[in-house]
Amino acid sequence: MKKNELALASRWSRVTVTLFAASLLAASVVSFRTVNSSAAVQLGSPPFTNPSEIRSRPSEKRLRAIMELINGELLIPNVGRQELRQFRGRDAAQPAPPLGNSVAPGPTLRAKLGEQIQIAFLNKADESKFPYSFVTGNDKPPFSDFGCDRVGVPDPQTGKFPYPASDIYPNCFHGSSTANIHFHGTHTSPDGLGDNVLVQVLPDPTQQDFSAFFNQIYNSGVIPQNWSDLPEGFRNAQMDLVAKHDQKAAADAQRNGLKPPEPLLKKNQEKIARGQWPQYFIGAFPNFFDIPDYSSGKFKAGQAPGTQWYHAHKHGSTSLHIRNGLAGALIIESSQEGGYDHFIRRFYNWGDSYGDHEKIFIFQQYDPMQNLERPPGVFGKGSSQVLVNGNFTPTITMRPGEVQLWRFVNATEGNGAGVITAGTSKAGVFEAPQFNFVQTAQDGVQFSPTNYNAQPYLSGAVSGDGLVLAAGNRADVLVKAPTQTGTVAFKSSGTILFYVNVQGAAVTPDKTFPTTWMDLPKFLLDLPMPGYGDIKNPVRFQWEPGRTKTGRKPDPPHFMINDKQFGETGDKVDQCMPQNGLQEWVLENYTSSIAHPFHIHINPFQIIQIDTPTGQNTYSTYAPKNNFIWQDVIAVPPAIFTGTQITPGRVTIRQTYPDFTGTFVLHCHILAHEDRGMMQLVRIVPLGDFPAKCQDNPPEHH
Amino acid sequence: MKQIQITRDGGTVTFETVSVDTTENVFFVNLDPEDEHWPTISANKLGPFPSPPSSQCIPAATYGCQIPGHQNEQGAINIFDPLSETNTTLQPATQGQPIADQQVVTGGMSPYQISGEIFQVIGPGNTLIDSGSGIGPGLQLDPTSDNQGILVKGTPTLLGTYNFTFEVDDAMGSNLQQVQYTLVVT
Repeated sequence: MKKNELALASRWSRVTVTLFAASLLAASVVSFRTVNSSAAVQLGSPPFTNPSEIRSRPSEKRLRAIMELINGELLIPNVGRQELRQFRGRDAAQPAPPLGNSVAPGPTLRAKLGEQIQIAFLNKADESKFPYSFVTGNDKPPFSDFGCDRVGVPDPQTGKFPYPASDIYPNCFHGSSTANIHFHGTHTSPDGLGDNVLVQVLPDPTQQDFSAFFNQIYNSGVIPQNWSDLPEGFRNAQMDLVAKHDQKAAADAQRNGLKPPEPLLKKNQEKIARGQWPQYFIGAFPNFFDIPDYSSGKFKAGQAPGTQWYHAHKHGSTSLHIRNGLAGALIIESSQEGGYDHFIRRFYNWGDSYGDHEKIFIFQQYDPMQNLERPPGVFGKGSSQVLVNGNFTPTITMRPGEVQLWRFVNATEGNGAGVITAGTSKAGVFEAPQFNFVQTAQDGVQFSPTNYNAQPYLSGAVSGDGLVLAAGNRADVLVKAPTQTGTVAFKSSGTILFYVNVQGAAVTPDKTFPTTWMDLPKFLLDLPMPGYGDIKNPVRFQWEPGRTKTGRKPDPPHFMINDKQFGETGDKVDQCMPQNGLQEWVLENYTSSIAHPFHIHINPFQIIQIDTPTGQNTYSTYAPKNNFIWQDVIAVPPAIFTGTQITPGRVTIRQTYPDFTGTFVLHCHILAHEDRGMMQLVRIVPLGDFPAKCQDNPPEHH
Repeated sequence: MKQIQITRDGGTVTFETVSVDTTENVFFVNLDPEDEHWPTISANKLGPFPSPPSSQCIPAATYGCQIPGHQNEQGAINIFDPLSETNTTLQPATQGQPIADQQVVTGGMSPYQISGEIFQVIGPGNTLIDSGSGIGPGLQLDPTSDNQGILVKGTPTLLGTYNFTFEVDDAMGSNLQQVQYTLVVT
């Protein structure tokens, strides 16, 4: 007994020491402020800070960064310390910063049109810290069986586990140690080293130094188009690492009585033999792509300057990664006078950079796990609160009459509180009516002068709820503080997101918003109507037939697009389009309650019509005649169920496919739905190859 | 706090199966000097299921552990209420008079670490009388040592409305911050 008591005492003292150290760290970042306002609502709120930032190197016309995926115990406000994955980034010439004490989004990446993005992505996550990894090599359960996550004790009658319940691989939560980076909102190549979300980078926390190879790739300035264009040493090293991984995975599986996984080396070799890029990498991947400048004459269209973002996009773990916080802003600025950023900064005399006049809001819900992997009815505290740049209700300080540019990024998973309702000008944006707002861009694409004047979102014309940010949506707004001092809470659906404390001397001279807005670049003018006879391509968001409600009854919904889950009928391309084609698609939502945010990579689209069901076969409709808003995420309104009759929500979009061919995805941006099947494989082929090469060697869907 | 005692009797030991609302916090007390034979859940590591579990525990709607081969070992599973705020509007007080102890935080596991205390006292006419660190002149926070949360004690010295907040971490790593408390002193 005495031995036991000693052991207990020892254990407790270890815990105490650890937490004492943690609390000292926490205390060091607490800010004590003298408040001169009579309102006390923001008591204890931390000061708002933009995320850290990596800027492109102007003289080299490139953003050259290292982005590490690492893990550690981090404080989630109002939750506690949890083991989480985080992005830790830096300019490649800088030393690695320490992992912070608290959660935070990845660093903001800032570059200009016409520059190159060169990001060495290093997956250094320690998989032993996380259960259910695809690459599970532990001798400790729970094992994933190299398939779906598996949680709980199987039902003695059905043999089913609480999770995955009836989810079927690969449309289930799985493989959370593997990752890649999606550059959401970029118009660039989806293949090779570009915005390639089909590549899978497995973790290697003790990886060798690949920087010499990466310098060789990046310093040439020429984007490798083929696997054989990469340095031979890097290719050989990667193949060796994949082979070693296969050997270890097979041995781990055998030792633990599991079926061995398919060798990845063989899959890579098959791809390479066909002249394609391998799909599996170990530890390191050199992302490298252009930001096409529409004024360069080299591109049919180009990249819209604006608020884009990046996040991990490995199928099966996109939602867990976004809950861990693996996301950050990607700000692409204009390259010349008259462009988006130049116009705004010149109007306000802000100089060549925004400085404190710009605020970047990364809205996130941090949670170490999926709610579906918790018992029914139990939800993580972290997933029910929206943090701003990792902070709980931070406070911005503005002077009376001051104008700032606010860039909102909804980097939540998209359920519940993750739908950010900014509201309308009439009712007050974020329920803060003392402030004045004007929206300047949606999803990283500037408004046309007509839309700038009409404010289709903030006026309530598009939706009575005003500016609503579904998961993946972005919005830029210019905001002007009121002349009276005081503290105002900014709320989404009644819940405080952040505060603004207006204090100090009024700004002089007083300036409001531009009265004349910049013209759109030519490639952002309205797309013409597709020709007569064009069939509107349907994309139907669905769950299994017969279901009328969300929830576990007894299993969670099977999310599908056009009657099937991702890859359900094999590795096939679901949507194939000819390069430069012009099409209208009709997005339909056959599920109740949930507005599924449709997102397609590589090219934005224009919103032609939104039909929101109001009853059986009745709709309220938004259908502008022109000046269609560009977006890359649009929430498709939920259906109304009347008995067996379904009245689907509907959005008509118009899009074209210039500049880049390749293979990528469209999906629901409620990322748990994407992971669980609501995704399609998309390909753009040269016109001469359409449709003959649409199904040539599609990538694996895992 | 709920506690499930675990004892061993025989070659194969089965933990009592315990139903756990995972919004609660679970803490395994290990009485075995050979840590590896037991659910080695360090502070808050079990947390919401199924965060990285011990080598022998399979997270489930219920937590159950089977640990063969170890005899005469003892342990306990402590289940704590979530760390949460209570009484954000405190009972009104009288200037210069001791207040009745009032609980402001419940649940969690001792010891509690308090940081970031900050207060304002608003007087007549909505004017700011005083502000700074602490929870206001005459008032103190009293973290309990027996998992019973945090109390407010003391004798308010100013007339007006005390507003205060603080951050608290408990011994399982749970965190609570930016909860606003109000005490009116007349």
